[in-house]
Amino acid sequence: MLRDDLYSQVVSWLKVLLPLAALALLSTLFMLSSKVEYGDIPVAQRDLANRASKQQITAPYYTGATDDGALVSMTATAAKPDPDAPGRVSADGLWTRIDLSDGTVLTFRADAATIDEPEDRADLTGNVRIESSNGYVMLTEGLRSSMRAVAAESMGPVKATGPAGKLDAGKLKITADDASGAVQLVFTNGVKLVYEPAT
Amino acid sequence: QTNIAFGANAENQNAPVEVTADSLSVDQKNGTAIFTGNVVIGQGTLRLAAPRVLVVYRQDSQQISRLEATGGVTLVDGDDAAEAESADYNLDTRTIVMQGSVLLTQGPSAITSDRMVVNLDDNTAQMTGRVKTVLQQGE
Repeated sequence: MLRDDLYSQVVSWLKVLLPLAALALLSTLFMLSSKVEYGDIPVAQRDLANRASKQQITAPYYTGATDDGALVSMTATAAKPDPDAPGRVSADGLWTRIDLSDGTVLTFRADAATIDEPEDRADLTGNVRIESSNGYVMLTEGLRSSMRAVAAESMGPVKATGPAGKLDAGKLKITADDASGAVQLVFTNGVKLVYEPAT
Repeated sequence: QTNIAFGANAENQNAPVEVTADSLSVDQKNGTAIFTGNVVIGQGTLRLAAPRVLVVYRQDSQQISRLEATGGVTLVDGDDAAEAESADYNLDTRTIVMQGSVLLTQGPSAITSDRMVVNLDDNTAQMTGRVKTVLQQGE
C-alpha cells in the first residue's frame, strides 16, 4: 500500500515540478540569446536637431524652361533655403543640364551653388565644370549664370579643352546669339590656345 | 611666277600651333571659332599676326584644317617678313596663301604682288600677279 501512496505522491509532485522546470528553461532561453546592438544608428543627436531646425531637401530636382525655349534641369545632393534671404537656396553638389532649342546640350557641375530665383541668378562655386555637346570641357572656380536665359560668365580664369585644342582664358562668357539663338562660348581677357596638329 | 626662298627652317612641320588673342568666340551650333583682337599664330619660328582669325575644321574629324587670317596680316619666319590683306594657313597642305597687296621684304630687297603662296615644307614662296621687285642700292 505504502509503495502505491509513494508512487502517486511522486507523480503529483512531478506534475508540478516538471512544468516549472520547463518554464524556467524557456525563460533562460531569451536571456542567453545573442545581444542585438541597437546603439549606434548613424544619425547623431546634433544632426537630428540640425535637420529638424532647417528644412533640408536631399536630391532635389528642378526643371524649367528659359524664355528662348531651352530646357533646364537641375539636381543637387542637398539643398536648403537661405534663412536670411527669402527665395535664395544654397545647394551642394549641383548638376545642371540645359538642352538648347538648336540641339546642343550644356551641362554644368559644381561643388556648391546659391540659386536666387527672384534675382534670376545662380552662382556656382568650387570645381565648376562645363561641358558642351560639341566637345568643349571648361574648368573654372566660379560661374555666375542667369536662370531664365542662356547667359553665364565665369568669375575668374578658365581652362578649356575642345576641338580647337587646349585653351587658357581670363574669362568665359556663355551667351545666346539673339539673331540665330545659337549659343556662343566667348573666351576673353586674353586667350592662349595650344593645338597639336595630328602627325 | 617668281620663286623665292622663304622662312628659316623646315622643322616647323608638326610643331604645336599656338594662338594667342584677346578673345575667342565659339559658335556651338556650327562649331566655328573666331579669334579677335591682335591674334598671333605661332608655330616653330613662324609668326602670323592679324586682327581676326577664323578657325575652320576638317569635315570628318575635329581637327583644324585651316586658319583664315583677315584684316591686315603680317607673316614673319626667321628674318623674312611678308604683309598682305589676308592669309589662309592650311595646316593639311602646310601652305600659307597670302592675298591683297602682298609685300615681301627680305633683307634690303622688297617684292610686291597680288598673291603669294608660301610652302612651309620646303620653305619656298611663289608670288603671282603684278610682281614688282624693288632693289635697294646699297648706300
